[in-house]
Amino acid sequence: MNLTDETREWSDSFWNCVDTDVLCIQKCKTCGHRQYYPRAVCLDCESVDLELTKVTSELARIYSFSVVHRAPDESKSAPYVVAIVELEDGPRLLTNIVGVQNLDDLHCDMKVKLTFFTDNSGRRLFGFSPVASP
Amino acid sequence: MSRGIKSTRAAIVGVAESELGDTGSSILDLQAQAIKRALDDAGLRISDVDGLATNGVSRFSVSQVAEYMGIQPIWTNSSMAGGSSYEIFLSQASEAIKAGEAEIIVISYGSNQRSARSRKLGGSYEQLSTEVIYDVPFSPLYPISLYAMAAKRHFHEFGTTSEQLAEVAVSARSWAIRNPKAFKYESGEITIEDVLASPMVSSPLHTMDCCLVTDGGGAIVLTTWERARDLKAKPVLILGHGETSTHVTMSQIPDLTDTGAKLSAARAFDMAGVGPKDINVLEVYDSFTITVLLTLEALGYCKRGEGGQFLQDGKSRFGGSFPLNTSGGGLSYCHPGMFGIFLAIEAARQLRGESGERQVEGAELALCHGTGGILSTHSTVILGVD
Repeated sequence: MNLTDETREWSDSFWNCVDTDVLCIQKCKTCGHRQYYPRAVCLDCESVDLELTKVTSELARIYSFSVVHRAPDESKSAPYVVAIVELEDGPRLLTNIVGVQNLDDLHCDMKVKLTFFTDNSGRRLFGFSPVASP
Repeated sequence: MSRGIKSTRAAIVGVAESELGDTGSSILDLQAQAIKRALDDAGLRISDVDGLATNGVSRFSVSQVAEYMGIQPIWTNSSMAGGSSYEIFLSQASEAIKAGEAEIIVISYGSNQRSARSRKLGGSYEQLSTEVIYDVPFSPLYPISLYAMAAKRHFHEFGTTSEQLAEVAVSARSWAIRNPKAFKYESGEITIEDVLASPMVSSPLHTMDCCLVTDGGGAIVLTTWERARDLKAKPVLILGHGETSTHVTMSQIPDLTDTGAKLSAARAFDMAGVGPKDINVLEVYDSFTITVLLTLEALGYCKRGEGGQFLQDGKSRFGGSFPLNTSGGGLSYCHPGMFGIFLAIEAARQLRGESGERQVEGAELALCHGTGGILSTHSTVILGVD
């Protein structure tokens, strides 16, 4: 999964992984910095030697979220949850929170775990679900 | 051909809106209307114009508008930074005039998004942008859901409430009912309860936390201080400006509650040699109620996290001690896609003493802050009269 400097190719590889229920972030082969989304340069050490790598932890916390009450297209059924989550690996991603019993229980900094789901259009996506409290 | 006369200062000498609301007009017709009216306001002719800045028409925005108006400009700018573009145009036009690159610059905008029904909940994207690749699959409302997440985080970190956000909308309406050009001029006052009772769109933002969707255009004419003194309107000087861009994809926002306005404002205040307390009237982009709280905090009017408390006593409403968004803002006056030019039009009118019933007495210094995209781009401009 070591690609050239075309952003589009990085993104194709990223989504190809999601299609097989694998979430990857990008790791710098020079300094080890992890970043999302994948791009042609390391934002830490400026190296161009990068690779896609599977996340080392499936856990994340919700940085923030919003319950959307009007779907903009057919791929989602309202209400649904859009969120920015922060991976234990470091980077933040935009995603959906799925498998929520009660939307009122959601809160910022809540622990969530990686999952995969298929949207109304048949597209495979990564999402996160609340981790049951101990 | 030699360059024009250099000047130490640049001034706004004409401002105007086109028809606003639900016009049924084309973008170019709205642009032409606004440009003609702003030049009339300045006492200048279309043939006097040698610089043009605009965007949002097409990929060739300046060329489209220049051709339509019969102008062959020697200075052009069609940078795209969303809602803050027009504060950026003011900054760059000001510097171009001071450098003698052009003598009469027109900045213009037009949108028919309401009558053309071109606004989409999911937003308008350019193919292969990072928003399309990494945001759109998760169906955020664009741009609402990012501002909603900023509000949610602000609630979480600082205890801000929906009632405090609603105050921003209530305040905007108190000014709009005193602005005959405002879309909500005849709609009467609103209450905090009205905002909270309006439908939730992307929590915690209700429909009344969101700006209007209207048509409209605007134009601003700038020239040198020397030439401005011979024109009919009181010149409004551009005293300071600053800008920045922090991100464009939702996951890449560095901090949901700390915006680039802090940097752009610091640079503008420094250049103008004034501070927040010196400003008499503020025009701050109110795409959503949360945008105003975040911006006031970043501009230095209150501490980070305290924007809700700062406004909750109603000080920014008509007649209050903190005149803010005196046109009625994007929430109640007009919001044709990009509101930036309207911030500066109202600021110039206030400084010229021409704002009628909503005039802020003795206004000599005004601040405009444009915010574009999803809290992505920021531009602060400080205006003043001698």
